Amino acid sequence: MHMRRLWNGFARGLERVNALMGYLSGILIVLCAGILVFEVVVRYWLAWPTDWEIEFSIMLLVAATFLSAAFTQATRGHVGIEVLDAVLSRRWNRRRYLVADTLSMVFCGFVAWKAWAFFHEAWSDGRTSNTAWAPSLWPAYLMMAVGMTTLTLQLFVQVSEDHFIRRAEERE
Amino acid sequence: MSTLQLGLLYGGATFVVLFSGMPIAFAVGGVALAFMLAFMPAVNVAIMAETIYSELDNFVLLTIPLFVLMGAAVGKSRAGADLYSSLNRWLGRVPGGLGMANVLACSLFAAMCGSSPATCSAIGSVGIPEMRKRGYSAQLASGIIAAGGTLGILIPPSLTLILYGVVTEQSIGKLFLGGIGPGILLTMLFMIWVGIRYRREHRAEAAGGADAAQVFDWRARLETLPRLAPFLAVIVVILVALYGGWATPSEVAGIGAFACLLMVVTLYGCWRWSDLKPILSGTVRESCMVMMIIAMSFLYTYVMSYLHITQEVAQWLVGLPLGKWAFVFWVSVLIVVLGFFLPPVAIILMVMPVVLPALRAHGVDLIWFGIVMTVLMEMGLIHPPVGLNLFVINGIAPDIGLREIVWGTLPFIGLMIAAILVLALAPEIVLWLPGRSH
Repeated sequence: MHMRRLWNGFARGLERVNALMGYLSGILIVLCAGILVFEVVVRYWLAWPTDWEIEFSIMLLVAATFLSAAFTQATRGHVGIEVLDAVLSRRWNRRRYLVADTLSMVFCGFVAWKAWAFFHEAWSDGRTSNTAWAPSLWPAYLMMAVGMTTLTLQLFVQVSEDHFIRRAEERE
Repeated sequence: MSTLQLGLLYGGATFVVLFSGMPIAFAVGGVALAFMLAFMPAVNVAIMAETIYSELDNFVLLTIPLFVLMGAAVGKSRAGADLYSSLNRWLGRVPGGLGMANVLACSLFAAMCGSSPATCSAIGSVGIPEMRKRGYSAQLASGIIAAGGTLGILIPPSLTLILYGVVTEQSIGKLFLGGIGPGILLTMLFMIWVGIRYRREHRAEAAGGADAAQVFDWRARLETLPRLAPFLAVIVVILVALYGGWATPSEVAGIGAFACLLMVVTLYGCWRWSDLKPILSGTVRESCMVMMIIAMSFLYTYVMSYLHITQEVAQWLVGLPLGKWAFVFWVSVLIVVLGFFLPPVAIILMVMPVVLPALRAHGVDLIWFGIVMTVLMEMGLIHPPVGLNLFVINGIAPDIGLREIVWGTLPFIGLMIAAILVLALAPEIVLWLPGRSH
């Protein structure tokens, strides 16, 4: 019982964090649209030089993509080919999805690991972008690492709940 | 292992993993990773995150989340319903006018958003109940919306054309302009078909003099215009800015998204958090799904090219004893077949790098091909077994069976094939407008 409560706390907590990051990503996209409007206005009408706007908006959108990955996965928003659902029996479909979800989790975990290494390298070398604006690159890489990590955790929760916990409950 | 064997193994593995039901993004990424681990130096695996990041670090790709935001903002507001009822008032007198209004509303809505399912659900959720109330068969009503919705990826701004432009290094602006003519052509073909089909369904009533159509006076017609005018203005501004080359597509996308969001907030009063929440979540879900597929497909093609599979297959395709049109035909067949299972973004990323050299060698115009390819992929959206739009409609109108929806869309698939033939005979429909832009 205690374990169950601990697990629920973890799973629901993760869902909340993911939803929060999802909405944050939406706000980042809106912010990016705002920055581009600003960029066009100052460049065309005020003839100011623009050096950071475009690079910054790209970073925002890359961040938005990774930060919302777990939120999207929570509702199974990453599309896959579902043709076999109708062809195979329920039992084989369950087995197939167990393999597919586990493989997805392993893959995302691997990318998360490499993203953390990538972030660590940029952080310790103090890497900056080779443009006139020259921002530090680690914050963008950090978003990628965080996003891939929460995505992996979300997949872990889904594999555990869909394939083991719910089945155990059904048996009870 | 020879490159040929490696290529077959790569293709075979992709096929198996995709059909396992893994999300497409993780499936293609996973295959790429497995081959990196098995056949490539360790350093490539070590810098894998960097490879993914650098592919996304692209100013043109930026347009995708922004156009998705624009579509979500318009789609979640009442703008779709307004657009629809307004067109209905204008076309009320024509036999089958309501159906035509639906087609037209789909194509105009498509011009405000780059996605087909979004177009389908925005217009269909008001259009299908209305058409059925007024005596349209379930088949015709669902066919109109499913097919009309596919225009979302052809009429600019189109997510599919953006990605095609990135992969083939063609101008996004020219591709967008190229999509306009064929978009109008398909809209007209669809409308004509709706008129014919409506007459056939309602011959008895027409003979009796009873007309199911409602007639509106001018006041009713003009009433809805003020609310629609700003959206129509955004479409015009976007097209003019692209045509004149005044702003880059990314800037246009940023401005369009910002303007549409602002209008939805002010004109439709969607400023509460509860109004904005579905817009934000709808945007991130679709944009994240598409961008993840793009990121991982880039990794996939990177591995394919590192292992020389791309080059080998491309060379083989160039060497095939096929004429220009025979080659285009077979590539089209391949795209249609892939379209049965894969969404357009994945098809473009996986197929184009391989067939591009051969298309160039045959002297095929790449703007023209991009448009034809998009129409081909539109078919996949309304064709079983995947046919995304079919399921959207099934969601909006649960009482219409999938079977009926499929029968309703079949004639429209025929019209799309006819449109492709017309585009092959008269490529100017695509190329005239881009040829005149700056």
